[in-house]
Amino acid sequence: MKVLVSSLRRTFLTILGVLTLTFFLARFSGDPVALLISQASTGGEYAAMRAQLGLDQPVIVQYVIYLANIAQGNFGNSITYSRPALEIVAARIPATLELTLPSLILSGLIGFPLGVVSAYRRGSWLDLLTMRLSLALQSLPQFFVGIGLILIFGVHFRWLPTFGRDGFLNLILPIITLTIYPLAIIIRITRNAVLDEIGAPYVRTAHGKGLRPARIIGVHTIPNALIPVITVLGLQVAGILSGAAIIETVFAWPGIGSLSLEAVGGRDYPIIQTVVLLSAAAFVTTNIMVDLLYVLVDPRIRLS
Amino acid sequence: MTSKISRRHFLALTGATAAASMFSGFPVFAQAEKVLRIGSNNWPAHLDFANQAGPSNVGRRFSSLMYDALLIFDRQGALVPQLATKWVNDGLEWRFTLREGVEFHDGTTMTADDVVYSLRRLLDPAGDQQGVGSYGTSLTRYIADVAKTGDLEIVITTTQPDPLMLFRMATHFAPIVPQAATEALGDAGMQTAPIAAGPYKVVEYGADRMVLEKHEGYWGGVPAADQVIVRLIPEDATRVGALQAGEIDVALNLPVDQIETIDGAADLGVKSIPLFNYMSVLMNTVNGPLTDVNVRRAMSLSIDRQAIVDQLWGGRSRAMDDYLLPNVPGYDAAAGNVRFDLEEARAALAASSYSGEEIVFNPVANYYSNSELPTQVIAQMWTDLGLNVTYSPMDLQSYFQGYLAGQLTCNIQSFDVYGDGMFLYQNFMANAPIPLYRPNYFVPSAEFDSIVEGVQTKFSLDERAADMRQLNRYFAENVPTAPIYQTVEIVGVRDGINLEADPLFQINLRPDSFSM
Repeated sequence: MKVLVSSLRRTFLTILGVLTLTFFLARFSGDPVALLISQASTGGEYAAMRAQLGLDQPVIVQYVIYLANIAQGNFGNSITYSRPALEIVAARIPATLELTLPSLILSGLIGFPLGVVSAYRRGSWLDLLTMRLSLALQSLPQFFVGIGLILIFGVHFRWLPTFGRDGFLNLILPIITLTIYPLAIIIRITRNAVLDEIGAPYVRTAHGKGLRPARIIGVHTIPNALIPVITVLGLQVAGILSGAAIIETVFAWPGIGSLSLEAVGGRDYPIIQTVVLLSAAAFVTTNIMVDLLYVLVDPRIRLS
Repeated sequence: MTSKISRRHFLALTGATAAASMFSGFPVFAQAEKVLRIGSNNWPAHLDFANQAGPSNVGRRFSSLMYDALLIFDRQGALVPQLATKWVNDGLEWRFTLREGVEFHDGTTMTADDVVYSLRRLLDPAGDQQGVGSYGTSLTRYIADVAKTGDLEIVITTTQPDPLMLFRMATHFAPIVPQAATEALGDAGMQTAPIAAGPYKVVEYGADRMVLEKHEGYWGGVPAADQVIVRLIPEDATRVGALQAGEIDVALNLPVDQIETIDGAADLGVKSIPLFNYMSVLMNTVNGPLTDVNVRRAMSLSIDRQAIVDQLWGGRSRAMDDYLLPNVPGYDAAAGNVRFDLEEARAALAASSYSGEEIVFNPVANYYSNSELPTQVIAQMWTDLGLNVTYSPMDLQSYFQGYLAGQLTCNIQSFDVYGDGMFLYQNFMANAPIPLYRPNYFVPSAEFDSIVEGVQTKFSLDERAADMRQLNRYFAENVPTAPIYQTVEIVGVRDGINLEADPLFQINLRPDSFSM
């Protein structure tokens, strides 16, 4: 119970910190009214619009109102769309999940076995190929990969659609693009983790006791190697979320990533704040889940 | 895109067709729906263009799909009748005769009451959710009232004689809508599923997809495409790829470096047209190193506009040679108001007080299409002249902040000039709707103010032209801005689709401008 309370307190403080940072960064980055107002509007209208949006108040007053509203579940109205920000962001979440969840799962499901095999076949052609390839993939900008895939599979072969969210086939290219980077990282981390375990004294002991190699790998090595991999996979949630902003724009995918880029361009504070808050919440939740997974994977770790 | 049909496919197809027609009882060879798929680089925040916010041209581009107004500009910039067929001015009154039998999307017929309602809606500050005042003030500041004077006649009473009322009525900010449907829909409804009188009716409007169906009862004839699907594809490379892959038929806002690729493709073509708008360098005449007019003159004279147009725009743009565009009263290329003359530029610089001060050039980045290369070249031309230029593009927000605070020395802006020079010079007048130029960048003389004041109420085209020539000359002497090139709309289009790029940035799918 005590653990849970402290964990919740930490979560609350983290999210409050994120909210505060986002609020002030957004406020200091530009004036949305200047963007909304047409060149032909009067100075009076400019002032009226600022007042209507509450931007004429001192920043600290805006901040307090903002926190009070959020506490009541009110994230404000989008400046661009004049509709509740939460409603607009929520409508876009499924599209983003369609890309990010498969990407996270695939990078784990493919990356972990590849890393294990690489470690056990260290120095083999398979290991070299996997390592070279993962290094190359990790170094490619996602933007470049996305456009390249579009040109090859969409424009040249015409096997897959180039943009949009119209059906299952539309998922393939963006998910591949989004998966490449975390996949490369998972492969490398797994390989290193397994290599560390292979050389550990307890594995040598197990070999000495005459245990079957398969049992050593399955029961002893892999569970121990999983811990750093789970940690990194958890951290990749943030990477995938930020990658989604670029990927969604490249593939014209209507998720929260492309929405947040638009919102930053238009200084749509309520949208930016809502997206950041939800992303932070997702990230914090993932970390809590990672902590819980530790316990499952390694009984020596206790939540206390 | 060519689709190959093998013998086997053909047999299967005919077999299936025969079978289907046996069972269904319906003719299978019914005419296929004609669908036009458009890829756009940007997206309107909503579809109630009378209330459209923002400084961009997004609204204008989509408005003519679904809205008609009293008048419209044709491709040469002339005013032609749309929902009004005749008009006459008598001092403070503009009397419009309305077209008979105009059908709205909901099947109702346009009445004078609808038109009065539509125009009053523009004047109503409560209806203006964004507080933008629809082009606003420039549209509505001259209107005192709108009244019905007959079954198909309305009168707009102005606060002062307004020779430009027709132009104002032709902008995308003055759409005509049915009163009953608009009131029933409310502002929110009009923003997502507007009912109006344009060639297409909105059936779906989402975050990245808009579907429109042809308005069978459109007064100008039945539109060519049965359905229009507009998709948001912000990334240039993806939009071009989608066009090449056959997933869209029209790619808007084609990057210049993709023109050859698209033009070279077997089934695609490029359409372009200079817009009624031009790109200009704006200089700070009030503060900083450009307060000396000789420096500004040297900068303007040293820009080889024709080279920019030929080299960077492939000749698809037009080098500016005056402060106004051709066909606008007062335009006079022979006056030499805007020209390239390196000798004269060097002489002006020598005569100035300039002694190597840093000139920071802040063009706004990723905003005006294809403006990055031209601004780099301009900076280089100034450097070659002997100026100490720092080229520093700014993102739109920082730019606006710095701009409104009067902190910029030199940047770029585009100006709309359709029909009349006042659409340029009203930005600089003393009671300009928003103080974008005075007092921070340029404070024109009392003489300028009095000419602008006078021209606002003059109807005679000759008198207006004479006044405009004076204003052009005044700008040429003081160089608050240096016009560069007419902006260009470039679109990639699939063969078989007869759609021209539009000088007013619209997607014009009316039957007289589009077929497929």
